[in-house]
Amino acid sequence: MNMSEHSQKYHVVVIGAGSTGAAVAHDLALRGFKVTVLERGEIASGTTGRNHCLLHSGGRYCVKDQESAVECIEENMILRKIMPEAMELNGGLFVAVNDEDMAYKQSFIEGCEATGIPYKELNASEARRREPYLSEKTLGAVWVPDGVFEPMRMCMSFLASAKQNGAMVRPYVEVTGLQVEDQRVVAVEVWDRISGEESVIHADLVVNAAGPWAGMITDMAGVDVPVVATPGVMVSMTGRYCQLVVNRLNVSSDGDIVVPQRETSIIGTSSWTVEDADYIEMPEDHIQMMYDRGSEMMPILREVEPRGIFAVARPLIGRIGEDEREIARTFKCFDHADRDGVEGFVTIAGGKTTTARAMAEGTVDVVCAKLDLEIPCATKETQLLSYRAYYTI
Amino acid sequence: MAVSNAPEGSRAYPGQQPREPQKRVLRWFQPFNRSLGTWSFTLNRVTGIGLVVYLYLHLGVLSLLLVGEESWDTFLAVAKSPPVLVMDVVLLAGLLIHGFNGLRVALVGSGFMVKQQRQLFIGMMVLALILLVIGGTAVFLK
Amino acid sequence: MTWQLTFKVARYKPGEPPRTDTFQIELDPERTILDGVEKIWAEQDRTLTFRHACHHASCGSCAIMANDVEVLPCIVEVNQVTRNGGTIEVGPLHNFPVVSDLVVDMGTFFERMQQVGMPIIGPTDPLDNQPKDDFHAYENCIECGICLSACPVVATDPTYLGPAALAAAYRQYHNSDDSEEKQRIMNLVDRENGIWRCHVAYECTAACPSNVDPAGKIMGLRRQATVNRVRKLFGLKPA
Repeated sequence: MNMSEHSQKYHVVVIGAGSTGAAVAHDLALRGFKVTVLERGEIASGTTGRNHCLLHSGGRYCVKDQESAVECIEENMILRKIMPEAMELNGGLFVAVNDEDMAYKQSFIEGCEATGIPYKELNASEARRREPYLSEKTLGAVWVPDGVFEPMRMCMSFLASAKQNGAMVRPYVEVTGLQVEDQRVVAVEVWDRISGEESVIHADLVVNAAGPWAGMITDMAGVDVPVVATPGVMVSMTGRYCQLVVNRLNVSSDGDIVVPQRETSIIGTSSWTVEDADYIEMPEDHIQMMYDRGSEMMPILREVEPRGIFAVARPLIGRIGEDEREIARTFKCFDHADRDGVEGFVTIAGGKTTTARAMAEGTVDVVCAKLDLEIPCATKETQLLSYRAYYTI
Repeated sequence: MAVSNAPEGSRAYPGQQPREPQKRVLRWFQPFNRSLGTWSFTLNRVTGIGLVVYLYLHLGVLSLLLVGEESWDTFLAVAKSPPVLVMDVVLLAGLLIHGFNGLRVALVGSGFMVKQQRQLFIGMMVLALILLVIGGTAVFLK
Repeated sequence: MTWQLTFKVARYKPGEPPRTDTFQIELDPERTILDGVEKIWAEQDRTLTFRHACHHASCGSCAIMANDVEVLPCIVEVNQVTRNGGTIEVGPLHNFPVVSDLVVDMGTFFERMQQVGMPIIGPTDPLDNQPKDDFHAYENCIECGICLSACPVVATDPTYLGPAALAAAYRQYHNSDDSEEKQRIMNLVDRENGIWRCHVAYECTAACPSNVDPAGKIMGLRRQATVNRVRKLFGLKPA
């Protein structure tokens, strides 16, 4: 029996068109659901758009958070096949510039092996031959399959494919309320920021993919999720000074990565927590820290002009007050029926853009289980449309 | 796939009818705030339109010949008066600017001196100015 | 230290006449015009709509007019365009359909980019440095639409393919080894509303925030088209 005949009966509303919402919409549409995506701003105008553009190999997590590392390397290998137009597959280096870094190397390599990340050791001269702007103090490096992606185009690519499969994507439509009847979310109240009209959209199921704003949505149904808005500052420098992603070979910390994207080099990132993620005041000392720490690996970054300085909140799972670098970077799908006794409502939180597809797969599996459907996920094998198709479908 | 220019409902913003941009002919005559290239563009529009107007004026004047010898003589007398001579210099300026700028467009458009198009424009205008001074002097001296 | 700034924002909502709204905000002079607009949305007027994503000039989404010139507001610090107590006027790009406030519809633009077919991000060989050459520059194009807004020809001829698509065509033509593909690109651009519509104002090249030099690329295509036609006259294959 063709199960998608059954899924067609259900209208699923996805809140948020960042990478998670876009990937969820694509997965839902591919499995035959009727899908509406609601986004209060432009596509990728929140966390995804302003992210670091790093297609994680998992190297940054392979020692302390191996679950995330495994997710990253698996998704990395899938995305490079299904979304070539939004990717630059240049690889990355983890660079040691002092003895402490060199001492970390062994545990890094063990981490790579334990999590299945391909790696290659390079000596200092090889590393500097490939990346001439690396510090003279470079002692050694490890190559991993990092990459660079275009966050906005990645979302557009997912959404173009979703639209091709019948999904409706509505930017500038803000969710103002959820209608709950008999402990079940039945409809979404929206405000169209373009026309000013308010309306109600019926939903058989609502997926909350609002990232750091997920708590605002769950509040509307009287439930909550442990999501902490955890901003980071990034500084994009004028000019591209490396071809590979350059990471510090050490425990993840502030300002320890330089991502070459297009014609810029982006130094990142820091971390603190905020209550309101709509407008983020950037602490001056965090910006200074990016120059200081970034130039330890690549001294030229101290000499060139910044092109753009920005900050955006990550949606990390946890509670305010916990040490935010210690919070696992993996994702979690919350079915509010199990947690809070509210049916028809699922929140997907945490994770990162690299793992958006896996997050979507997990979420739509939950959706299918809730509706008693067994439809396999096909996003791993489905080639995505060009991001440009988002505008032409 | 044909390029569709007909306005239709937006595909990126479902349900919205974007306001189509107005044709902004005035933009041709607003080089302020813009680069040198727009000055050359504006100069070419202004001189081009001026030359077309002159062409019809010229044909009109020539048609006086059909009216008769007397009216032509009257015209010649007017044509030698200083205000008309000044207009002759303006006409010459228009011809030179349009001509030399056109030469630049033709050169750059055939792939020559593409990288030096700015310098080419300045050079052409300097040439036009020199010829204008020579030509203007000649008009008044005669 | 923060500055007191006045933002004059061009507003438009469907069915209403366009208007200008004035907002007073406090902003660090080193923050950008886009930060100012986002702050107005966050703190003063939730009906304000504007496109933005990356905030570092690589997505091309946020392009607007600021003080009557095309900018990527995410990389223009307010101290570059005004002083303490000064005014910044912002509005949507010219020559595009306006959806709402600063939001323009890029539909036709992307349709034309898609026709050319060249994705802006090419796959790179792992572990190899890419040579910087003339072609490489096209990958700088962020599809922001600024060149179309700045072009005096686009202002009067909406059927003109426009600088961005023609620059893309140039790169696709020279990047492809396939003679059929080259011919397809030539057919697309060698016509009245293609390369021959350009009037060499070079405004696109001046306005481009990514140094793509679309005008130079259009001239390159013209030369190529001319060469191909002359060769055809003598019964030769296109070069």
